[in-house]
Amino acid sequence: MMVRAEADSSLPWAEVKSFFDSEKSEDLDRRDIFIADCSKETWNEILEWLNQCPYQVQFVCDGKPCAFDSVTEIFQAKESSTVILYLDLGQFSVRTLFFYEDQVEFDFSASDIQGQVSLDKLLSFVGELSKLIGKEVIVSYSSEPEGTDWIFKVDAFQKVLVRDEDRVSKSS
Amino acid sequence: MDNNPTTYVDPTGLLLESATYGGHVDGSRSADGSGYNFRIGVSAVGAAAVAPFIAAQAGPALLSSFLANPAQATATFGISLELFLGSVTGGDAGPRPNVAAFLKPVAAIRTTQFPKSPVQASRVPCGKMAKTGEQYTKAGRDYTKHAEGQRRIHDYLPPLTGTISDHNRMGEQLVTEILENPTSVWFGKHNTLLDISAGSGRTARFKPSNDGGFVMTGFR
Repeated sequence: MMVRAEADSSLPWAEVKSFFDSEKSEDLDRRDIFIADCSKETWNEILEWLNQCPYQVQFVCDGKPCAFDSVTEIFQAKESSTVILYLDLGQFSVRTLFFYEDQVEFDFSASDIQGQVSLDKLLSFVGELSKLIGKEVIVSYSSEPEGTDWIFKVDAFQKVLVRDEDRVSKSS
Repeated sequence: MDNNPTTYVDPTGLLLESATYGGHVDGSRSADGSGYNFRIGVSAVGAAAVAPFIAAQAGPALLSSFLANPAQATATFGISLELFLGSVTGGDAGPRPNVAAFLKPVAAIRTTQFPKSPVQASRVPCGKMAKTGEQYTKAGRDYTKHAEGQRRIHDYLPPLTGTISDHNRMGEQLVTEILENPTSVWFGKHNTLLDISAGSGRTARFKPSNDGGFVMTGFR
């Protein structure tokens, strides 16, 4: 593991390309963006930030477009239905199902990250999240929950830690 | 036994790729009618163990001369086992190995390598308990990531609605559907992974677990 970049600078695509190979990974095409030790307040911060961002945001409840007034309302709705927030970042989209109040998890398709431009966008989004809430944000494989099988992390100081490729070589 | 032509895939390539787990069953008549082109493999077994056995039984040059009866395998061993191969070089008149001697070790391999059923493997809890008291299973959690509309590609699963329990049920239903589909094929991938595919993009992936069985890693 090495510090490879600042979140506002570029992480070379060649260094992380293998982590986004959806065919060879045991986790196939999904990757997660994960933040631990959160609360409803964290979710509130994120949702307020998203409302001000240029990203296209859409809530869907059991397959139908919907709107919510608060995070509390979202988690209430989630007790009986599937609530999804889709976020179009331009190069690709991410989404969250609001799995838990105390952890934030977005996911995206590894196949959408296939070059420097989309990687930069991902790193930028993760860096912005980290800056916003002052916490470490983890990009991980999806088969293990809670970001344990991480690929890279952006800490609260915007340092990017990239995992060595051992994990990929084990699967290939 | 004639098999309806399907697709031709280089058998040697497949055997190499399926170095550890699984394989694939598919065959077609060669264009000149002299024999079969084939994909060799068996459902529910490790090809790494099977390949040397085949070689020992028939020799690499005669791999393509296997011909087996799936119904017989099912009746004998209670598992879905399929081999339908002809002889690329010798046609139906080509030499044949001892099919029964081949099937028996295959059944044994299946028992030792997959002590947990894939459906059980898909039920492994995944993540913590939600406030509702529900907890995702592997299949349920991954179903949420692959249901209709959740990805730009492969929107082939039912749409995502309901609670965690509903997602778990849908995930497990899909695993069962993949496994019980008579046309499902098993592929060894990259030495350690096993993909089981029912076609139309419905594929479940498994990896070896610490207890010698398999755990599900997700849908494809």
